[in-house]
Amino acid sequence: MNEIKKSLIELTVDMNESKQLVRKRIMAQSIKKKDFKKNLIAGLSAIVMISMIFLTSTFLMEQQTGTSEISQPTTNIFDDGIFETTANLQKWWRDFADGEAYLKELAYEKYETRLALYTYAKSLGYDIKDEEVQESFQQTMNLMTRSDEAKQSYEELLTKADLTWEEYEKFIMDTAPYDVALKKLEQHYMAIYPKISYSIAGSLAEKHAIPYFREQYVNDIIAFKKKHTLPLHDGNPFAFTGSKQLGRVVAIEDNMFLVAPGATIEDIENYTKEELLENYKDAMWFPMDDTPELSIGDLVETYHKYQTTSEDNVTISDLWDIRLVNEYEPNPISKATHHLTIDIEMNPKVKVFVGTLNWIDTNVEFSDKADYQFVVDGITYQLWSYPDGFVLYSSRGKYRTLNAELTSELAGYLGIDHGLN
Amino acid sequence: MDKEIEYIFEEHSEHLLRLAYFYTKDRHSSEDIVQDVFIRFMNTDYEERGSIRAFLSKMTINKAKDYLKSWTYKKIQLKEKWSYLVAKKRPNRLLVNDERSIIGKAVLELSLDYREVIILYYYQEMSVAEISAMLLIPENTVKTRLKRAREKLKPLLQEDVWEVLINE
Repeated sequence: MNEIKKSLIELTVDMNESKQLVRKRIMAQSIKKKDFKKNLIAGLSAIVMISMIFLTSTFLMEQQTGTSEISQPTTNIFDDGIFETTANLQKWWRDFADGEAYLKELAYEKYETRLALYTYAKSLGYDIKDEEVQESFQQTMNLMTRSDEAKQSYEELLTKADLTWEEYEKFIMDTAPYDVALKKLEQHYMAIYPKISYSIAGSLAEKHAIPYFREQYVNDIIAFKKKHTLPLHDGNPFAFTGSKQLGRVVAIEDNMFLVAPGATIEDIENYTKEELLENYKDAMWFPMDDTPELSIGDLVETYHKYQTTSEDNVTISDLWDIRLVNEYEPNPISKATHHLTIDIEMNPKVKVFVGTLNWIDTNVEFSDKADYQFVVDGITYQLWSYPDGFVLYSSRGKYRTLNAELTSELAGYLGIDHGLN
Repeated sequence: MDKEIEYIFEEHSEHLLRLAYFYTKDRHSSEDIVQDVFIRFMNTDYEERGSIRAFLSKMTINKAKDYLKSWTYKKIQLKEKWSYLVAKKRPNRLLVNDERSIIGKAVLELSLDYREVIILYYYQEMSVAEISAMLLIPENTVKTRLKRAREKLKPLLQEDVWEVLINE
């Protein structure tokens, strides 16, 4: 990087506060836009009503004459009553979050997750029996009335949510199958990964259930969202995607792997698992859930949302995403690195590309030889090509994993195959 | 698409905030500009023909220049010029006080014509041809402005810093 650029960046070193503020305001802006839309829709409601009557009568006539064909099948998976009660219950959060539209989106996300768990459990062959539903309902009711204090806090919640006790009881009954489904999925993942906790099993269930639901019930989702004027995107675009951690795989046991940030290959060779856990307090066990083939020594980026630490300080986490940053290669000489010469026209583009990436400082050493190497402004960049994207390591001791989009962009500039699956 | 927007925001927002700041020299306007750029970007059917970074940078630069021409900016300038409170103006926390940033501070002292080419050439790492195409001015004008901008930086910098700069 040139001295002027370096100096300008150093001049404005802390951008995080501004970045978070802008992120928040973009969110608020999109909510405002939705509110405007809502008002517009309300204003046009008379016209819509007339249109609806017309369309309904046309539809009924078509039904009678058998001329109508539903091009995209939908089911009755969504229930307006359950959604509305879920939305009412979000009013509890009104004091902490602004915007009715945001609360409505939050309600949808909660409802969608529960539906996803239910449909995913069914898809795995689990049967939700009436007696299980009844038992779950009873357990929830007992929890709500277990003490005067508990009852009082529920009464406060229902007052804020404009719900009667009877309405809430019906809601508990209607949603009890979802709770049964969650329990079955927790048991399902506990059976696969016996070392995790029930909470982590529940988190893994969500990770698998949500994409399944969005794929299988796409038409229902679109129809429901349109009906309730919800945004059509899949969840909040600025939603939390998990905490990132970089570290080496230091142990693999059964179908779990242990990642210790900061651990070196020498540590792995010289210390026992217990010693590594003692030395690296941030080490975490993860389930091998949709992971690439891993070996001890591999450098990985993990993304997790939920973790539990036992009394003996062993931390176990869920796993929402994983990127292989560097595959450990005990015999690095077996591979040759291709030295790339960047085309003169492409050179400025590559310069801009590498100059504006958010590089991550790391003191880890990459164990195997890179697939490619190129030089820009005296800085050497080593490039590893993996099925989920490129990994770059600069001679300034910084690295970056590239997503599919950036991998394709850089591959184009360098004139190499992106190697994506 | 949603994940992509989040990714694009993560990837480029800091760069764009800095870019806007180098034009406006005001943290709050930079935040407004970048916010506006992303909202417009989210509502645009963007088809990737080049780098997203270049596309967003161009939007940011245009927006920053619009701001500098705007009545709001002129009003702020006037107010600051006449206000007795200028000296007590709240510190712009975006700036750091470090000798490493001495060149950057000198760049921000330049007038817009000179500052702009320096920013585009050094920070944005655009070629003279690219700057010429973007600003719709001849390449020779870009070169002259760059030369003069460097000359203007000279008295603002110490000899050793200047030596580093001319060797860039």
